[in-house]
Amino acid sequence: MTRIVKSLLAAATALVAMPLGAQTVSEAEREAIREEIFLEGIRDCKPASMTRCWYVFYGVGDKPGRKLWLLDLKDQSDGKKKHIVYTDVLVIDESTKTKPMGAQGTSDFLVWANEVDCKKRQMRMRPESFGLGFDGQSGTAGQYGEWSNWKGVAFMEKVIAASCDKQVRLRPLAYEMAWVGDYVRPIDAVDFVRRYLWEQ
Amino acid sequence: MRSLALLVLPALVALAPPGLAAATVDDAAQARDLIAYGPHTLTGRAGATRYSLPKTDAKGKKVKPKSKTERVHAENEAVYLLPWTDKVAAAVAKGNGSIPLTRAFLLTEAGAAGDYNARTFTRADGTFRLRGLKPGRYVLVTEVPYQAAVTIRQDTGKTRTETTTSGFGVFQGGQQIGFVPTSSTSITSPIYRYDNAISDLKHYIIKVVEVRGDVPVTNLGEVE
Repeated sequence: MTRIVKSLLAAATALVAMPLGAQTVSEAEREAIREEIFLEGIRDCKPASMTRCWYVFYGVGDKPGRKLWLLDLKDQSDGKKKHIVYTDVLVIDESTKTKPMGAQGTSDFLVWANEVDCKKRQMRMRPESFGLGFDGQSGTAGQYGEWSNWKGVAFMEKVIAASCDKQVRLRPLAYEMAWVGDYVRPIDAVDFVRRYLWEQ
Repeated sequence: MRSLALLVLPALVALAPPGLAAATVDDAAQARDLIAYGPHTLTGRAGATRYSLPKTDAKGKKVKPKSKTERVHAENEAVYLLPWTDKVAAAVAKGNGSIPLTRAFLLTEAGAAGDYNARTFTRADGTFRLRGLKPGRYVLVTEVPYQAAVTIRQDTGKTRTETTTSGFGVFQGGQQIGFVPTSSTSITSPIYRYDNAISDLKHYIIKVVEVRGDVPVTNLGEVE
């Protein structure tokens, strides 16, 4: 009888010891752990096996001159610098009737390979950025663009937010972003949009 | 001296056994490089041939099909184009040999090409188009769901027993007057019912294709 009581007591002590031990972690440390877990998760877009994770997040214009922005929530960087995230943005023009924005004119598609500095909330274009014209001419940027925080440019601010903000990355649908697919090649995502969204 | 070293190094690399060079190639990097943008397009039409389905006229009367066989096409089916990486080449070689080259086998053995590949969907008529390809060899993977007329064997739950008895006859005056059985064998077998039905089947297509470098569009035509 005494032995049973002793064992029960030991079991109860073991059960109590765990939460008491956990209480020694401060709230700041907890937040650091959460941040660490999130930063690991930032390299991911569920499911983890995907190599790309395209979301449509912005669009303008009417048929036959629509323009659509997609971003890849799967970080393409090597993950060595935790505050640097590589977010590719895909801009698709429906046709040559699409209203040009700025000096860039219309293109079949442009891939803005962006480097986002989440500490400074700035973004710049990487040399891998690529474009294909409606005439079949293609080219890469070949050099880095200027760092900018893109204040006042709604869709660019959204790219920075989607790259760096935990709540946007974890719940993209709640931030008016719709999943398109996990196409590895941007051109396949372009053809998907042309066929299923624009019925071309 | 430096220029000599530069000349000798490529020569040494060229002389190295192919296995040594292949072992140093990163599978993912190779797959990524092979599916990077190129100016070529691949088109085709995925389909299969089946025995013509039984047809009926407006009154519901059976009509003989015009031909014995007919073509069916993949509608809104995913078409994958796997780059010809060392792993894919090895899987295809292995699959054409001792192991059947099934889709499951190929995707298991393909390595990084399973993740890094080109993809599109067929249209209602089975046609597909993949843009932005480099010239070279790829493996095309898709499937064609279709219906086929089949005969289904159903167990009725009933059985049939056949008994064979052997023995010798008793004769008198050249005429048989009796039979003496020596052994008897009974065989019981189930009774089946055969019904004609339409069944859903899938035709898998795994094909090594070549995107030509001398023309902008390589048309595979009917792919089966």
